[in-house]
Amino acid sequence: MVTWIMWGTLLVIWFSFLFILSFLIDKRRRMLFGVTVPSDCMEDPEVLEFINRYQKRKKRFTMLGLIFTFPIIYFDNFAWVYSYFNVYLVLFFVWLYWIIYQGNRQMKSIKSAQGWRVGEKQAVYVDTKLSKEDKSEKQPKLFWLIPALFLSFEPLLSQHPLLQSAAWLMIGTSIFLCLLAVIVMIKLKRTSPKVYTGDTGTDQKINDTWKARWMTLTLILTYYFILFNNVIHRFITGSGGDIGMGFTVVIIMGSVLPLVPLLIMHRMRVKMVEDLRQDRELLEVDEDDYWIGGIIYYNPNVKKTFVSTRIGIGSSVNFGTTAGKWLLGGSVILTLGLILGSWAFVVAEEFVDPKILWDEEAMYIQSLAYSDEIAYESIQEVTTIEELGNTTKTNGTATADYARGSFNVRSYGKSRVYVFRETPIILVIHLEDLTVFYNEPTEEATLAVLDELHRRLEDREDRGTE
Amino acid sequence: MLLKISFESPTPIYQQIRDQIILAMAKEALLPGENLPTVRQLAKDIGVNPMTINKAYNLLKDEGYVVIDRRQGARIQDAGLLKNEKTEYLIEALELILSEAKLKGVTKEELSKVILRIYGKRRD
Repeated sequence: MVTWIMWGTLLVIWFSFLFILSFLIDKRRRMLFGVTVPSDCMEDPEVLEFINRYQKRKKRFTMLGLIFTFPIIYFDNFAWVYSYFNVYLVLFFVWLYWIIYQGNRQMKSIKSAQGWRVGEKQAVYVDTKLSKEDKSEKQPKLFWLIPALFLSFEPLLSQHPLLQSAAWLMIGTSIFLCLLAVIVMIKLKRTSPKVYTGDTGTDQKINDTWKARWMTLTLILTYYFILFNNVIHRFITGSGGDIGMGFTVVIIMGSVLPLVPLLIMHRMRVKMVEDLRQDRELLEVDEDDYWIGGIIYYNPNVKKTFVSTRIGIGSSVNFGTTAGKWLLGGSVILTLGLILGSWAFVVAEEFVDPKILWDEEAMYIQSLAYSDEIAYESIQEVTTIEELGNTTKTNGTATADYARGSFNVRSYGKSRVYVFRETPIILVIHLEDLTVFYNEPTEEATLAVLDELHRRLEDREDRGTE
Repeated sequence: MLLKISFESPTPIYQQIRDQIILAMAKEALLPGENLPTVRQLAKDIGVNPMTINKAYNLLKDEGYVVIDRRQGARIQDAGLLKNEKTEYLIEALELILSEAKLKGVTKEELSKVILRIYGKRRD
């Protein structure tokens, strides 16, 4: 099951690579590989040959990208599955960046050789009338709906026991989302107006319209992610159904669906500029030299931290500012840390088995991520079963070979599980409010643990009667 | 008025702002008494340090083109007050520029167009 989920995730990643590639030749924005070009350049033989070469590279990348998602299905060990997943991710990301970087360099040299000029080079236009506009009075009407928006989901919370850490995590995340929406709205309100035509009235109208649209979208996305947060909570607490189904829902809700309104906004903006360009000459700026490889924006001349991205949708960070360096460096370190950290953990978890330590009063089960101390006096009964049966994971790891962590086990309820699935015997240690499932990689070793446990329980009873 | 700041130009940014405000005043894109954007706002919109804008505004103030009020910020000087200032140094500078223009082949017609662009719409 996990293998199929990881394969599905690779397909989503492969699809997102294709999505990025679709922005490399953007005729409507007059942009080739992140380089601004005049509209008539598309008929230039050198450009046509360049596009032709790229189409071949794209086809190769697409095909190999898809083919190399399949080998993951043949691994039955989770550590290998996860290792393959990470190697795929790194290699194909580097390959994608290389395609974009090379294309950007070639396109820049074609543009320079042809002497094409698109707008003022490395300049910025500011309309002082737009700058003077009093922004403090323009409070967005929807701004005050944000707290109400959080409360509107409150009834959904009531069905969960609030003392559960997952519920608190969910409430915390929802509050964080609301605060984030407030910050985004304030930022949007204070965004510097963009000069399109140089005509104050027209530019003001365009800026006001787009600010209002972005604010509404922020609100809709905040609503959406609070709902999404609720869905995640339902799945991790086991009330949302099968975990595989949950993963699919979370992937679609978390990645594909929120992209749709962003894509629509992007298309609308491109169309607006296209229509405007047909009416009059726009005040355009050539910022090619600030874009390294068409992806990384480096402009130490200005203090702006975010700029509109060239390849794809949304914003890019200005690497030339201190904040930009921290943001970019921080996110790279965080991503690498998460990938390498989780990778090391998964591999170690696969190869380091849980172990039991004994002392006079309690037994200790220790694995890499989870541990339990079980006092002999708290044990009500010890039984054995042949297999685990239906489980729902609340916080743990479940692979084809083993299950470890907190689970809800059918007919037992809240449980801690340290089980090798292939071993035909599992010890069931019944405690007052928890059941612990444990076995060793072999039946003999598991029976030895059972004997040891019985011996220690009897010793304790003997000591009690003396 | 529309400010165009070029980061490629060898002219410092504060000088570009100062020059363009004077040009806009002459072309009546900025009128006497009109407020300029605040230092912080203009710095944010251009994306530069507020000190750069402050320097441009102070230069314009020293040259008498703008007045800076603590509450209202920077605003364009009244035309009447500007005209009382000495202009001999400008005529001298203009003579030099016109001489350079003549030597480098700028025609009378081209110069006339520039003069008309600046003086053409003036009410006086």
